[in-house]
Amino acid sequence: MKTNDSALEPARITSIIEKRLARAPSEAKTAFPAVLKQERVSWATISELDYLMVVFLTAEDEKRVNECISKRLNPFLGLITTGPQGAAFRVEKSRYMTIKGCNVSNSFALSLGPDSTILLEDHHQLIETNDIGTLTYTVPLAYIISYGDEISHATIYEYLEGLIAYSTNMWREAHG
Amino acid sequence: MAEMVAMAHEALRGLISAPENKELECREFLQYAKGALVRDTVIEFVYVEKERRGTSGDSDYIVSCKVCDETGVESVKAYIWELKAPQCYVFEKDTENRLRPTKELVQAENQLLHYYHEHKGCEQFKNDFGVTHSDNVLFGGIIIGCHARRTKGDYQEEKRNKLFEKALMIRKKYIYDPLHIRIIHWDYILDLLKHPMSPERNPVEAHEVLSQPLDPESIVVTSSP
Repeated sequence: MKTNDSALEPARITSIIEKRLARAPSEAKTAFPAVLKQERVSWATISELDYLMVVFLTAEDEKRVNECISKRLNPFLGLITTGPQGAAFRVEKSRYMTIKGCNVSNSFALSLGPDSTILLEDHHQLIETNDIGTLTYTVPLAYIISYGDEISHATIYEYLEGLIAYSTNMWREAHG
Repeated sequence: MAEMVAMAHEALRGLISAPENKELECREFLQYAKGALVRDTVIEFVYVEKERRGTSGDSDYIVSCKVCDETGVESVKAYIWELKAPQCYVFEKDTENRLRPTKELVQAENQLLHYYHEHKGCEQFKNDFGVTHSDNVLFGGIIIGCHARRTKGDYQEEKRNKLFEKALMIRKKYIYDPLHIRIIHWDYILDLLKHPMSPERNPVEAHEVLSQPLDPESIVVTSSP
């Protein structure tokens, strides 16, 4: 069930990211991925009807994303489908799924169903298209949350907080 | 630690689906999800107390943690939480087209407001939790019910979900969000105890991915600072 009774508030998303990631204490940041240790942390927020995705960007990524936006092209072409197309991974009604260090060529990376929260890290995508040629990009880090019966515009901030808290905990444990 | 958390996940799952009230048992599992009960990425947790005694009653769960504020200055913040069992409903039928909060939710709201008000002005509280300024005594929120017990009432499934979404959205918009009170289910805590999992990779043949025009409204690039 998609609910649009309340509009998404970009300022709340920014506040969560700044508090938990961009302005996290340096002690905590030592365990974070490199893209979050940059002096200037940048991210793209993609708000679609079925999902929200927050992608963190290196300076190079940011340049590429801005170029795509200026040409009105999807900078993350082939990353997610919510349709019937085949994809390397299928996720639905699953929380805290982690997809890390994958290469996907010439197919969708993720077939996204409802009510899911996904952490995507160090993902490499290559797409050859007839009209715009070959597109290659890396997603250093992304948080993806799909709407459904349980996750709505009213509750998505809680799920974003939870997903970020889960990831920072995971990095901290892996870092020792 | 990872093994303990995995065992905790199974145990909490059992408690959530139990027929009888399991609030106190569920509370024990919050220790594994503390990071999601605060609003910042913490440097360290300072103090946790269950059943903190106050003049108007006992706070269910309070956690304080050392964090870094926007200016880079370290401070300690305390978050106050009120708990109700996963067996409690959140909303119940009021009319055919409107839900009302259950008495358990109203009780939790009232308890949270009283305890917050009292602790914010209490020097002993601030000393115990390491908080130096009243502004750093904060609402955590309410943990109540689970997905299966969101709404009590003889509605059809689709209508039940719609009414729940509307009731929650309105309560969040006009009451919880302005006060930074969070309301979450026990399933949310359960999910946080999940061992990291990756989906299985499908064998998918190469196929053409058509370029699609971008809706410029759907993407925003932001930087900090």
